[in-house]
Amino acid sequence: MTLRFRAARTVVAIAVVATAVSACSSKANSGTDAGNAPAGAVKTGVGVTADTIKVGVLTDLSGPIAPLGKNGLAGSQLFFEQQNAKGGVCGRKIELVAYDNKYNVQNSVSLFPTVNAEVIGLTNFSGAADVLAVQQSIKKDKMVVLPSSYDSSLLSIPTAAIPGSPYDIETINGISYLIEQKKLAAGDTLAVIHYPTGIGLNVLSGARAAGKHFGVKVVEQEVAPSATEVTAQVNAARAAGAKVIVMGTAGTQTVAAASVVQATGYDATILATNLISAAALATPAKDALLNKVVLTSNTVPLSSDNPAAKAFGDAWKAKFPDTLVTASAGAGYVFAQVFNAILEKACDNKDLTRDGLITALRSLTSVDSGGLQVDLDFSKAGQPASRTTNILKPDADAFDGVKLVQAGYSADFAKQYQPGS
Amino acid sequence: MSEPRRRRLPGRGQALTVGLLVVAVATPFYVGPFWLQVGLTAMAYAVAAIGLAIQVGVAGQLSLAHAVFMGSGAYLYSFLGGASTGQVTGLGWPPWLAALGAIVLTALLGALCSPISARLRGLYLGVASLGLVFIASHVMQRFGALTGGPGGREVPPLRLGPLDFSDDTTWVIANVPFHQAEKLWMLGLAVLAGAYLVARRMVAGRGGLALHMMRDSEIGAAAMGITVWRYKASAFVIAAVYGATGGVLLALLTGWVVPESFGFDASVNLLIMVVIGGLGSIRGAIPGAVFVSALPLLIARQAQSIPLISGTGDSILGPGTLSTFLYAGLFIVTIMFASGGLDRLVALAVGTRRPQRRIAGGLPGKYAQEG
Amino acid sequence: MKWKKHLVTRFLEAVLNGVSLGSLYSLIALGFVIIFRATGVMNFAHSSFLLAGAYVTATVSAKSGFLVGLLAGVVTAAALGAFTQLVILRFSKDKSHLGLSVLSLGVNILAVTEITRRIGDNTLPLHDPWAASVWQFAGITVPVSRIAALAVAAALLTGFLLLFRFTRWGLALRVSAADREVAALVGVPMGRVSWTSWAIGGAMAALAGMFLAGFPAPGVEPSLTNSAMRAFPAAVLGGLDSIPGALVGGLAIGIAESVTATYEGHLGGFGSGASGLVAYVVLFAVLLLRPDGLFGTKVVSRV
Repeated sequence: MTLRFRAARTVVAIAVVATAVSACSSKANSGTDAGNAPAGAVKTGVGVTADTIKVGVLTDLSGPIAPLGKNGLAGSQLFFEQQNAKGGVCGRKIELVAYDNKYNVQNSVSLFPTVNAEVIGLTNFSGAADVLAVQQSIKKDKMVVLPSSYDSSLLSIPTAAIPGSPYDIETINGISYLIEQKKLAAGDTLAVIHYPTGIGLNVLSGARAAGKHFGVKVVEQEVAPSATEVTAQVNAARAAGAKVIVMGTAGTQTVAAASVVQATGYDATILATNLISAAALATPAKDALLNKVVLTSNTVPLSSDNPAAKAFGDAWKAKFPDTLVTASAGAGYVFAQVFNAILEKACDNKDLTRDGLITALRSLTSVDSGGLQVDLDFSKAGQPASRTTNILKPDADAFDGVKLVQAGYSADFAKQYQPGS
Repeated sequence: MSEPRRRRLPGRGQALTVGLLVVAVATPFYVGPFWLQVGLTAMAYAVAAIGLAIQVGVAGQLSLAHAVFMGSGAYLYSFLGGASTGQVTGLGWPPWLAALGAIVLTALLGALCSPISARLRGLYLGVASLGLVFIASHVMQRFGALTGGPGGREVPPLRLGPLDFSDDTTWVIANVPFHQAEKLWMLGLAVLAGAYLVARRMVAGRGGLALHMMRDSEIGAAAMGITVWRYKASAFVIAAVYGATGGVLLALLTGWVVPESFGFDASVNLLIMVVIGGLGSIRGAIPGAVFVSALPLLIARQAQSIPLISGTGDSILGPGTLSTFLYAGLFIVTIMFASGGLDRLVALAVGTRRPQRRIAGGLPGKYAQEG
Repeated sequence: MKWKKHLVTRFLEAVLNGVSLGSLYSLIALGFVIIFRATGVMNFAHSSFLLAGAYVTATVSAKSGFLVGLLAGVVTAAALGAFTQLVILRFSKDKSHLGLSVLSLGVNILAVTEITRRIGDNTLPLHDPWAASVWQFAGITVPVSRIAALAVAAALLTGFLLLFRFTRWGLALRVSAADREVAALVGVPMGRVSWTSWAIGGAMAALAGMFLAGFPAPGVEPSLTNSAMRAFPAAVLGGLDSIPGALVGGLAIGIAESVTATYEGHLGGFGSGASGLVAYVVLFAVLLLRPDGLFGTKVVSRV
């Protein structure tokens, strides 16, 4: 009895003291309201002051995929520096704020409230699972984020703007292209080797839909993201008589699959989204990559004859003379380009608030990237911003390891396909 | 045995405990979203880590599967309390019942897993339990109707009678608006305090004594009339209950659960919390959880202000990498030199004269290959 | 009858492919086992040893040829292993096996972060002599690199068994594995046994890393670290303190994974993706029957 009494007394005492202490809190309501701009001026909100706009990057800067994250960040930084040199947006300088989630969902979750309170939006949010995990906050606080994963399951978040064709549409375009090239025909079989997660399942649903539409039989083989060994999966594909192997994996497994296909004399074409490091062409896998692989991408190769790509390459070399230009750096650059376009649209509308950004996003029917990436149209929430894909081939002479085969390819079926259906 | 018998805390300890509680209760009145979220996450992990501390430290059952129990709690709560949508099914129970159901069902899962521990010992048990993590991941990815698959599913907000822990309502206390994070802070604090007190009582009681004895010598314990398999099972069930409770808290913080939160990394991190907190210590699990879940973010935040982001990936360190080095370094130094873990540091701070009794050399038998 | 022959070839191919994968698991498991036998520590830093060895092999062999590179890689990983024991574990106040195992996890975070940073957005070719060459017979293809791996694993296994039997080091290791306290009492230099074992474990990891990064994998990438974890069940399956167990465990897990991957298309539904799990399913089954692994020292309790 005394014990219980003592406990109760302690609780009450603590509550009283705590409440007393908190009476002078700075968080106490003082009746401020946001967006109290004079008429005619630009309305501002979170992350925007009279002379800066804070834009966030939430990605892996020290974990297993940190090299990609850091190059992407540097690419975005390069773009915004150029933009700031031209006077910024709305007379304000863009300030890039980077957060490191160490490739861990829980870190993204813990960091998100800070990010949310600091920046107007995220120009690069890495990890599809990370974006999905904080989607309630994204929806509630109406933050525009550009996920760096082209995973169509992110279309369910209205303000997550995937700057390109999602993986399933990319896969459909790729398969359709291979049919046009007579690598595959109705009645044939194709195999999908895929991760059991995000990108893998996305590619799988694209391949299934394409298979149904084109009358191609689809066999499925799963591979764990931690496994670098795909020999058994490739052998199974061969046993099933597959003429095309679609990879729903990262670059490592794609290269390994190509090597096995080449070494066993298996006559098949490998289709994958371009996640292959240019350095892979300096390994024994070179011949396999050149002979067997067709790649899809939302961007054009940085080594191509495009003036915008050249300009980017030159700017990169001037700023980072010791680092090779990589695809991830280019991706960071085009992501910044898209976010910048949204900001400029919002500036035209004189509304640099979160709401203003969404309105701007929805009115963005094209982004001038100088041809660096596929055409984008963000006007319809829940719909992919693009249904076109660039077809690439590995190329040992290009510094980024790829050459453009066909720009802006779009299959008729890709235009009517509904992600998630 | 390693926990002190119930006795009055010395004056300094009592003052510190009360002081700490006052600070903890007052915190949401002052701090911003970063500290709230980091603190909340640490609380959720602390609750789960206490359960693991009992299982590993007190009962000597090495488990690398604790994240499975957290995941089970989080997903079951979402399933039982969530509504059915096009993608996922849910039973739509009232949230309090869903939380309770999630904990009870996870306890059952713990009981189902316990036969493994009856057969295996030490590191063998640890690695075998790791298998559960991969099987659980498979289930979370596969059973899309229940779990939402890799994309995860929504977590219904908690309502306990008149208390609404969602963002739909805002409480105003002492003129400070309480949104979801502030409200959950108070809930988390209460749950953590309760979890800690219950754990201490359990460990100090007869059951705890039996668990200790079983850790030190199964044969000795059996000779003393302790039904070893039953106590092994109960250690699993206790761990499951704490894990599930921590999991529900963690799920409430984000409003959405994804399989990635409950994988291998989370399991290993939970084990680090317990070891760094001081093996066998209930109290140490709390600073252990703070160390592992909050410290990397705190260091990264400080490192952010160091202007190193000016080059690209490979050439420079960058604040992220620097913070990882600093964290790993601290982690190594703590285990190397703070014998008895963080618990020992807490003991020094509260002025417990007599160091809590620990078994010399850690846990003989259990973690060596000899019996 | 033709399809039957085809089925047989296919199964044989799956098994051979499993052996080739399993030989790598065996090499990794061998390193685990030697460290565990000598010090009772589950080495969580093994993946960093593996990555460090492969990384140094790749960078050095680019300039000085493969053999020099391999030697440098093996020495580096061995040094890392010895360093872990001599500088970190030996001075730890927490001497429990669990504490030391967790400590090795800290070493792992440090080393992997640093090497990942050095590799960057890159794939480093190994410059190994067998490169992409394969052997083909009866319609089955096996990469030469894997045959080399199997040969190395078998040679090392034999070597270690002989060392155990006929050298003082082997005797010391056997005694310390049987009973650490008695070993110290009878004058076994425990310190030296410990750090040499860590160094040898590191060297094994470097060899495994070299083979893992070789064909059909493109080269050294940070994702190699995941592979060490995949060999974890192999070490436990054979018995954590058994050298032949490491070989058998590695092969068993390799074959099980390969065979499941080959046939999981027929399992359908929940069974798809089973190849990622099968290592643990096999592990559960074996451990429930034999709690100390296939070849592990049986624990006998005398009251």
